[in-house]
Amino acid sequence: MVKKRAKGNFILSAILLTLALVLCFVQFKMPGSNNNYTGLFGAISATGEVVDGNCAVYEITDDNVTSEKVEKTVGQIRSILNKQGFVGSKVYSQGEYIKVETQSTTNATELLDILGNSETFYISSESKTDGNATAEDLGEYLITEDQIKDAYSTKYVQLNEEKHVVVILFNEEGAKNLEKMHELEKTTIYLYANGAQRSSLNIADIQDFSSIGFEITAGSNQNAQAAAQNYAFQVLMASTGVNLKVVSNGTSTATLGSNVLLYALIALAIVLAALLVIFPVMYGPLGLAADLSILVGVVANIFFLQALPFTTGSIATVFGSLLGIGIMAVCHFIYLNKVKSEFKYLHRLQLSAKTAFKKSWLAILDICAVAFFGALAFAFWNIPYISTFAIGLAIGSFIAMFNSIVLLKAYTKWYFFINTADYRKLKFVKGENNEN
Amino acid sequence: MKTRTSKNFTGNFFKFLIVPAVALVMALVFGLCFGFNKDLDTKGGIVVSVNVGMNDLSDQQTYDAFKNDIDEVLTINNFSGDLYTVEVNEFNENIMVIKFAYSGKAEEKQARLEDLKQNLTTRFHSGANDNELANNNYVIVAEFGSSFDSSLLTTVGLATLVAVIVMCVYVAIRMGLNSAVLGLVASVFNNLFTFALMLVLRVPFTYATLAVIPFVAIASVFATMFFSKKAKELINKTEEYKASTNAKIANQVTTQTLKGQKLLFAVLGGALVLIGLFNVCNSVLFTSLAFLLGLVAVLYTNICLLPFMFAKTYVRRVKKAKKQEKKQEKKYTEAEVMQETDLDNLVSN
Repeated sequence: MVKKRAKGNFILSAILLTLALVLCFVQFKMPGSNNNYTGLFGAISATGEVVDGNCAVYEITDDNVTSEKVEKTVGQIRSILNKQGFVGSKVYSQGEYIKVETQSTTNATELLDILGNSETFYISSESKTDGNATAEDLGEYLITEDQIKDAYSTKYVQLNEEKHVVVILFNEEGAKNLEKMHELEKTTIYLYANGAQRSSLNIADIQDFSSIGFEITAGSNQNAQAAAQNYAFQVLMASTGVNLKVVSNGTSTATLGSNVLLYALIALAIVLAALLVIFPVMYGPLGLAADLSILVGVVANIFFLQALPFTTGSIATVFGSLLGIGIMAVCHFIYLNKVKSEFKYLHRLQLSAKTAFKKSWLAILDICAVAFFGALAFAFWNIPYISTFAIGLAIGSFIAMFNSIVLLKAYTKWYFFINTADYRKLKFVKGENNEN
Repeated sequence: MKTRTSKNFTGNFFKFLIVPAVALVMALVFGLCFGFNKDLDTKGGIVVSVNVGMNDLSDQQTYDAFKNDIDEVLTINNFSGDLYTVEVNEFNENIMVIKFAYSGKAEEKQARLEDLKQNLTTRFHSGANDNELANNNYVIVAEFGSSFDSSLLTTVGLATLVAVIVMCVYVAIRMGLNSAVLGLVASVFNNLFTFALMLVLRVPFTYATLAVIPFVAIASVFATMFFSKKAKELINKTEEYKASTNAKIANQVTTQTLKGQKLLFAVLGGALVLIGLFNVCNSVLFTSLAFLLGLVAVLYTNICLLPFMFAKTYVRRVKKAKKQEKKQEKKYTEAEVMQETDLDNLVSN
């Protein structure tokens, strides 16, 4: 009865695994709708180096801009893209142009447009509403973009309602100018982006002249958040002092070549196939149980990579996942080797599996925990390539832990219900063991 | 536990140290003289954009035809393309973008690039008049800068330190402070060793090479912990090793794990070689090579240097054992003396 149930469990696992593998890679048009099912693998959000992405070219419109300023602008764009989750974007100067290559997302085009549309930013106590305000028009005490130290968006909750705010920080000169505007007994200051008046705020509300903060309202809460963020980006871009104009904002094929992911996957598949051969060669049919567990691990890896919102697939993720699979193989090897060594003096398969688990689970936990915590600590910093590698590894090591401690144990138990005595089939030997 | 005849890994520590020492010295010299060998993305180079209008470059035949034509012009101008991408602008015009490194005399660069632009314009936009050419960027030939943000390196250093400390805290809790210190030393040393090997072998530094740092750091701590665990198992479960020296234990652990380490190296190394070879793009090949060197560094340290370092950091255990032995001896002597005294008393009575 138990043998029958064990066989049934294996058959069910194999069917579910096959189904999951199909769902990972197959693509089809969903019946009754215009949507395509891209497969779990196809749904992984990936950087522009391995899949098609967005590409924008900005022209530097100032004639006498220094290379330091261009570098500062390149760094600012890179930093903004990184903060917005566009990990691994490539930003570089190209003669009188700046080029951005990034992964494709729904808001990539809009963001790239905002970054390239930030020419001037002024704060003045003079009001001018014709949309063409220049520094000369706006009075003596004027805060220009070079007096801005930083800008960011933030939120606070008032009467259970979220308010989205843009905060602009000034350098010493900017703070002095703001103080002078205050001394002029003007009631309002006006903020101008690209010559047009964007917003105003009451000067009496300003307590500290080194910064200002003002609320952005844009209908829904989500819109207000996006508008505040975009406003802050526009100020940051203007603060670089380099005027940019969008020349082109379109799409681009994978920057490392369109086949890079396919080839990396073929290589990974070959390695996986080698691993799947090694286990049965070493442990006979019990190795097939390990194979089943490893394949489930691969599917789970793909599932988590596409399901978790902060994961981005890059070429470094491939290496991280590869190491995760390596850790899983090591853990499986530790457990199966322990079963083999325990059988030597226990001479009973089920008992050997139980004792081996008791003796090896802590070692497996240690290996996976070190890799998991280390990877999490690396991922936390959001550094291009390092974070994508670390996320791949963190997911891989977590799955390795679960599969080795839970899944492989269950598979081994089921297998020993089917094969209760034939140890030669598993390349096990009976004998005296030095231990205990 | 099965024990095998140990090889002497600890005794040859200073011989084994020669390889990384030479690599580090050579790397220092190479680094000071030539710096890192950077790839196209981290160094910058030449970018050529050719607007081919409404020709659909997603069609393989059209793509191949244009690529061949552009390659021909590049060859005539003594250039060779490295990375090819296709861009589509908001007017749905297709643009073929080719990147490559410039090799040649710096003073001739501008003239050569002008020639290339002229030849490409003649080939693909010969029908356009001067006004059209001036208003449209049909062909752009420009130099592009590095996409690598060098200010990242400080953050990378800090991140590595924090991550290694996090891992070492776990190792310290589970295996003791000695293992944690060993892990910290190994991960710093292995990262230096890896980058030294990269410098000496002139493996180009790509943006993705940054990922080698966490790989080496995690693998080092992982290996140290595994080593300590095996050693503890050996000490606790094998009578023969309970009273033996640390060096003997370290040698036995290395001998026992050698096969597994070689197997792991073969599988992971094989995977990296395959990923490198399968990808026609240089950047992926160089990244795979960097990972391979990281793997070599970790395994070299594990097999050749870690046994000695382990033996040295576990001196206390032997001392403690010796102290216990002395205490035991003292107890026996006292017991014997008491027995003798009792016997004497009995005899005298």
